[in-house]
Amino acid sequence: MAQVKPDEISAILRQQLAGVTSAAELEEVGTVLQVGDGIARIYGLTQVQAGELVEFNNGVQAVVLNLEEDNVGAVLFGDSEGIKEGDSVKRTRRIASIQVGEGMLGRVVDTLGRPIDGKGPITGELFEMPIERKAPGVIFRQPVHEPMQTGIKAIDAMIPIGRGQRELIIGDRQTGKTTIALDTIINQKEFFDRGEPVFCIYVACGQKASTVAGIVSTLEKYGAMQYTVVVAAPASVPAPMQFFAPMAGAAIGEYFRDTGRPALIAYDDLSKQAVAYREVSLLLRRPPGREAYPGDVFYLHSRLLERACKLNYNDDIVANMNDLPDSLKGKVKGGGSLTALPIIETQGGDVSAYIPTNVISITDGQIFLESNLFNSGIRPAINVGISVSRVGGNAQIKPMKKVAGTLKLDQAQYRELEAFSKFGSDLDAATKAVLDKGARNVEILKQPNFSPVSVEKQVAIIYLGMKGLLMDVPLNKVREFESDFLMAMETRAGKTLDELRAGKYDDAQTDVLEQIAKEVKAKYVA
Amino acid sequence: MSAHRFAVRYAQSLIDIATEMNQLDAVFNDVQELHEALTTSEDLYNLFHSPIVSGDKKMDVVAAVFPHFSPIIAKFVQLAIHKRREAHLDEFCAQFIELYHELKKTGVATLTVSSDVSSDVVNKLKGTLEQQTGKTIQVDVTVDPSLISGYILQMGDRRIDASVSRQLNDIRKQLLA
Repeated sequence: MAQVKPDEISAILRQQLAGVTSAAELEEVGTVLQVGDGIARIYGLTQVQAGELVEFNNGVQAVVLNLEEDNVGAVLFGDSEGIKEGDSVKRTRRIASIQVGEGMLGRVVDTLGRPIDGKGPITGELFEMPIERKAPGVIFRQPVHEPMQTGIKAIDAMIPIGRGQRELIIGDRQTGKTTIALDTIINQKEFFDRGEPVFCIYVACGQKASTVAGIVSTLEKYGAMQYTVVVAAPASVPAPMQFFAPMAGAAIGEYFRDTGRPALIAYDDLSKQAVAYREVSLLLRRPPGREAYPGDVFYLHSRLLERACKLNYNDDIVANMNDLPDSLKGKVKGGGSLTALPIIETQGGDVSAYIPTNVISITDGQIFLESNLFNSGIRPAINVGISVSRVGGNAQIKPMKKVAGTLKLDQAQYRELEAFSKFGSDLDAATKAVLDKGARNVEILKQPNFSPVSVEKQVAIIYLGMKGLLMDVPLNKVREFESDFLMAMETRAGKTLDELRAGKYDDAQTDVLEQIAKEVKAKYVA
Repeated sequence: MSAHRFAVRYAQSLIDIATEMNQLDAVFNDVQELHEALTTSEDLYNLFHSPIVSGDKKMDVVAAVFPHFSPIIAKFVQLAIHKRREAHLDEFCAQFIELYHELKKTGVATLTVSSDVSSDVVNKLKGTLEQQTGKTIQVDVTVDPSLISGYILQMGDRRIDASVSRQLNDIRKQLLA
C-alpha cells in the first residue's frame, strides 16, 4: 500500500472544508405522516410541485408524484429504513435530474447517474439534464433518412431502421430480444473506429443483476463499452428507480442528441418498467385500470418514446427548442438523433395484451421474434411476415434498396408455397425454383450471436441470393459458402466493397460480385 | 370521501355557530383543550376509535371528563358521536384551530433554541414576524440542547434552520459525498 502522509490528509480535508457551504436559508418543510413500501405520505409542503425532489433528514431523496388536498405522496429513491413518522422533509426546488457528460461513456450508472461499477467518480464536464422532459416539438424535427446499421442481415435488408426511429423488439422470453439490441450496439464499433461514433445507451430495467453483469462483460469483450453507457436498475432496486431508469437513459441520450450527435438507446425492457409503474401507482392508491395498470400507463410509454427523434439540421432553429435545460443553452447543435429500441416481452406469443398493443401503436415498427422459429434454428428468430418498419427505404443505402427491395415479398411467397408443398410431392419447375431460392435466402439470413456484418457485405451476399446464384450450392453448404465468399471479397475486391458502402451500384460492382461468386462456387458444386 | 374534506365542513360549521353566538374565543379554548387531550391521552384516543363502546357511553365520558365545556362544544361532540364521526374528532379540532387562526389573522410560530433566550429577543422576533406577515403571531419557545447553538424558527411549513447541529450535519454530508 502506498504511504499516506498525515499532512497530505489534513491538506485535503482543509481544502474540502473550505468548499463546504452551510448558510441558513428559508426552507419549506413538511412532516412524514406515513412511510412504507417505498412510499411516503407527507403533511405540509404546501408549495411543492409535482415531480419535485424532496429530501428527508437522513439524506434520502424522493420524488413528489401525488398532490392531494391534505397530503403529498412521494416515492423514495432509497431505503425507507431510518425514516420515521414525524420526521421533517425539505423541498429542494429541483426537479428530478441527473448529471450527464462524456465521462459517462464506458460506465455503468444507476437511475440517478451515480456510477455503480466501482471505477470511481465520473470525470469531465457534467450537465444537469432533467429525467422527465417534454419531447421536442414538430418544427425542431425532420424526417428520418439516415440508416442505423444493426449489422443483422435480416433487419438491415427487410426491416431497415433509421436514425431517430423507434423500432420495437417484441417476443417471448428466450427468443433473442436482448441479443438484437446488443448486436446493434456492437455493430456501432465500426462507426466509432471510423471517427463518427453513434453513442449507445443500454437501459437494464428490472432484470437480474447477473444478466446485467453478463451484458456489460459482453460489451467490454467486443470493445463496445468505449462508446456505451449502461443504466442499470436491476430487480433488486426499489420500483421507483426501475420505472425512472428508462427516462434517465433518455436524458443521457438527449445530451448527445442535442449536441448534434447520433445516439442509440435500448430500453430492456419496457414491460418490466410498466410493472414497476403499476406497483408504485397502486401503492399511491391511484385507481387501477385494465390488468391493474394505472390509466396513464400509455402516456408513460408514449412520452418516453417521443423523446427519440431526428433533429433539424439548422442550428438556429434547434437552439430555440422547447424545454431545453439551462445547462445546455448555447451548446445545442442541429442534426443530432436519438434512435430508440424498446423491448417488450410477451407471454406465450400474445401480442394483443395491454402493454404490447400500446407500445406497438406508439413505435415506428416492430421486430417480431418467435420461439418456434428460434427452436427450428432460424436465428435471429425474426418473423418477417409481421415485422415492419414504417420508415422503410429512406433509411437504406441505395445498393441495399436495389438488392433487397423484393426480399421481403419473396420470402412471404416462399413461406406460403412451403406450407402448400407439404401436401404434395409433384411440383412444377417454377414452384421448385421459388422454394429452393427461398430456402437458400433463409440460410443467408441466419447469423450467429454478436457477429454483426457490415452493410456492404450484406449487400454482396444478398445480391447472390436474390439473383439465384446460389441455386447450385447445396443447402447445407450455403453458410460455409457465404463465409468463403465474403472472405474472398474482402481479400480480392476490397475496392468494390468500399464502393458499395459509398452507395455505388451498377454493372461494375455486380460483375465483380458475380465473378468472385463463380470462382468460390467451384469448390461447392458437385 | 376523504377525512380531510368532511373535517373542513364540521370545523366550518362549528366556527359559524360560535361566531353567530359570539362565543368564538370560549369555543376556541375548549377545542384547544379537547385537541390537546385527544392527542396526548391514549385512553381517550382508543375510546373514540373503538366501535364496541356505544355512543351513549362515549357521551357520558365526555360529560364526566370535560364538565366545564360550553354547551356548543358539548353539542358538537354529541353530533359527531351521533353521526359516527367521533374517531375523527382530533382532525375536526385541528381543522378548527387552523380556520380560527385564518379568521383572526393570527399565527403560531415555534422557536427552538439551545438555551433560554430573553423575552426581549422573542418580542423582537415577534415584531419582525408580525410586520412581515401582517398577522398577530404567538411565539412558542422550546429549549432543545441538542441544537448545540443557534435557533430553528418554524411557521407553518416554512422553516429557518440556523442551528449549529444542522450545519455540522451539512458539512458531514458534503464531506461524505
